[in-house]
Amino acid sequence: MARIVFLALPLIFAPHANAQIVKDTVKLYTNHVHTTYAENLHRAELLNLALKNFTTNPSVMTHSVAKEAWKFARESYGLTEAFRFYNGPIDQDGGPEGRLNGWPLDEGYIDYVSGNLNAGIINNIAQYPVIDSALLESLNELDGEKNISTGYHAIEFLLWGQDFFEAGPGQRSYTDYLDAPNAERRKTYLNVLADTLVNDVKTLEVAWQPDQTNYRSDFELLKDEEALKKILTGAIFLGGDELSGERMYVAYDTQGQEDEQSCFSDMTHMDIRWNFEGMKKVILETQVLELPMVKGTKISQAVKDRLISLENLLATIPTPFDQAINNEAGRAIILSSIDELELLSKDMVEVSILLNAKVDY
Amino acid sequence: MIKIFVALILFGSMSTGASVPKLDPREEFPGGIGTTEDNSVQAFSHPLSGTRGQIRRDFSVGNSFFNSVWVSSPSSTTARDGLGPNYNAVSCSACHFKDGRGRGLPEVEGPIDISLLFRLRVKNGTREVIPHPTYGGQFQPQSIPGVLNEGDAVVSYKKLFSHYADGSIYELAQPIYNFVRLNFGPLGENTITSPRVAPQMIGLGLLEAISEVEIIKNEDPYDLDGDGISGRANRVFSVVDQALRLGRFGWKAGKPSLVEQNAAAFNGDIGITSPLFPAEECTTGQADCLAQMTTEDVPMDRLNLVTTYSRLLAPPKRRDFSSQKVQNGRDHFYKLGCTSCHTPSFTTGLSELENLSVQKIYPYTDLLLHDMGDALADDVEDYQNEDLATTREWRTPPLWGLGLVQTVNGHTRFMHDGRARDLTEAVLWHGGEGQKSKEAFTQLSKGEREELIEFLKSL
Repeated sequence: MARIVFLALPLIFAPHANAQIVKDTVKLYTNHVHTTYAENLHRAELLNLALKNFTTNPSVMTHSVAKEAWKFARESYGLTEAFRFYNGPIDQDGGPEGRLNGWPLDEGYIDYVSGNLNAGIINNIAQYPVIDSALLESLNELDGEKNISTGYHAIEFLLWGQDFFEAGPGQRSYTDYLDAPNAERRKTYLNVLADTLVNDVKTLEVAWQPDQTNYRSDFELLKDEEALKKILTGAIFLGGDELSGERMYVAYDTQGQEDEQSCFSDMTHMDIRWNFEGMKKVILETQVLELPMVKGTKISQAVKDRLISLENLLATIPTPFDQAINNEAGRAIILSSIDELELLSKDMVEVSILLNAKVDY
Repeated sequence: MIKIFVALILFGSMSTGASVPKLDPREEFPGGIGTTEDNSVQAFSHPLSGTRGQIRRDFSVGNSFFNSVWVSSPSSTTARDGLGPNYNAVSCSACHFKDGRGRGLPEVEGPIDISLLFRLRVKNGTREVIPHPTYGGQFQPQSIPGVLNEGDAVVSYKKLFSHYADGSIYELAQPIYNFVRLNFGPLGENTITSPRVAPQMIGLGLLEAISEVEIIKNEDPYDLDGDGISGRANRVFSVVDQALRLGRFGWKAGKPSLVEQNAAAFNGDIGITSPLFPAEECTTGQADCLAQMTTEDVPMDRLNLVTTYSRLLAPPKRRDFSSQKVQNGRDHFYKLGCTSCHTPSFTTGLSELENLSVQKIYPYTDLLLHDMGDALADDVEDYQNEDLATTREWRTPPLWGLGLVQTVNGHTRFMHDGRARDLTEAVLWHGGEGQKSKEAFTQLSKGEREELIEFLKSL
């Protein structure tokens, strides 16, 4: 009799103990998402200020400050991309993902390009006499997924210009905002983009604020498996599709500069690392690998090991990325990184199965 | 006891169509094991779940070419040039936005949407047709610099009114097409203009994996079973096999395989040549077009990547699939006889890909041609229009993903040119072989009609 009681006790208490810990993981996640978006918002506001300053006083100095502010803002956005792919505030119906991070973009849709100095919305006064947020939002992704008029990469193009340079990024001059044709319209365009960006990031920060009736409060009330599934879906699809596939393998395969993500600023290598960092933070900061069903398993150790090896591997991708996809050493590292990212996602699917929250990757 | 008896009689009197099979839990996953669970704006953009390794990478590259903006030659982006000389759009995704469905028509009269194109045929005395001698087989409103474009298409609407059995009135908007600013003269009275909208891209590889035998066994060209439905398969010339094959893809089942469908769309819609369709369609009347033709714009390996992409796009999991309302709607769908053409299920044949192979799928199509009546016909006269398919015949379109078109594409326009402004209108536009089912729909009560629509939305 006594034996039976001893055996039964853990069985009775185990589910309750697990449930508590999953709730903790969910709470850690929602906190982490909010903190990340709050920083993203802060940096978007700094970018907005820097762009206003640049367009008010275009100079080499203000231009350079604006470009640094873009990189700083971009880092914090990269970390948030692990919160996509499960129909959350960022990419649900009406969500701002397409406006914020539309890519790849057709430069000639926005401004002049080599060979067509009259191209783009900025130079088309007849069709678009007034540039404002309503116009630019309505034109984003109109008649094609590459017709991008807003977001980080549109700002990037307006700061750097097309990249025709092997050793470095695009060389747009600050005089495009001083005495070039349609300089005033270009300024307006840039400022409207910055305002739109801040507003969009703000909606995300608000959706994840604590102690409010918002997406976060709904998220925290989800069934354990549903919440875990969303948390893992973001990381799995970012690593296993968006990053390894669209952002790395496509460029690797076509060897075309137009297929690297931040092709104007040559910051693609950092985009990759920031996205990876975002995934890593979701996996480690939520302590999802410490949940009883996973803790101490071979798969949890494999994930941890792979996170470390990937971090080291990604740091060795030569720069700029548009050159790395075309030389032997760079290509080998990129391909190994793709392999590892895919394996990480496969491992994470195994984790999701152990947690009874299978992700359909 | 008496109550039950009455209920049975009522139930029996409603059964004009097929008996209703028990709800199968597999119906929730219309694409089999590869069904995607995402029901967001990205719902049509995922590879079948379980796609791994090189083929998932190929899917990514195919996706990038599907979204690519093609530019005119010569350019610095040589992998993506060769646009035109004449074309309808500069990218696949311009019309299949987010791998979804084009709206086709505007809310008010005026220029048609980019996602709608027209096939052009000219009748001759022998009930046969040829491509238009001046404008070619497809009307292309756009052209690259230095080439005269063909013209523009505009639409106006004629309102049609009718009513349900319960007395409530409904209105349909019949599109009337006009071709304006024509740069090569009028189209001519004997021209058949056949509108086609870009459909959602999901589940195409699963449809391709259905064995020919399974499709042909539903054929009943002489309506021997007397149910008023006479589905027949299109037989089309395959440029790959250099022989006649079963037509499977396109609004009139005019293409036998995905690779040929994709190559033809590249060629006709964007002006991109490939080894399968090596020349753009410029007629002898279009001198500047002839002068700017390009060859081998997309090589075979890239075309194959885009085909891999289109083959793997996953149908989404159904929403709200077992609610009472949706189950009642499903009952009506069967009893009205909709399943006579919208065949609920197939099992795919063997494939080298696990998630395409021997999958129980629920596309709701028989992939056969049906006479859809006067209102939907391309012409008042009955002519052969696309291989065997006549002006009156359309291939039953698959219904999976219908309920997510609004989420993905922001509209609820359906039928071959987007004339139906919502799913109810789509049912009401059915004529010809679908006339009986349409009439039965109008006999339903308002509540029952809503249940049927809820079912369609859950697909």
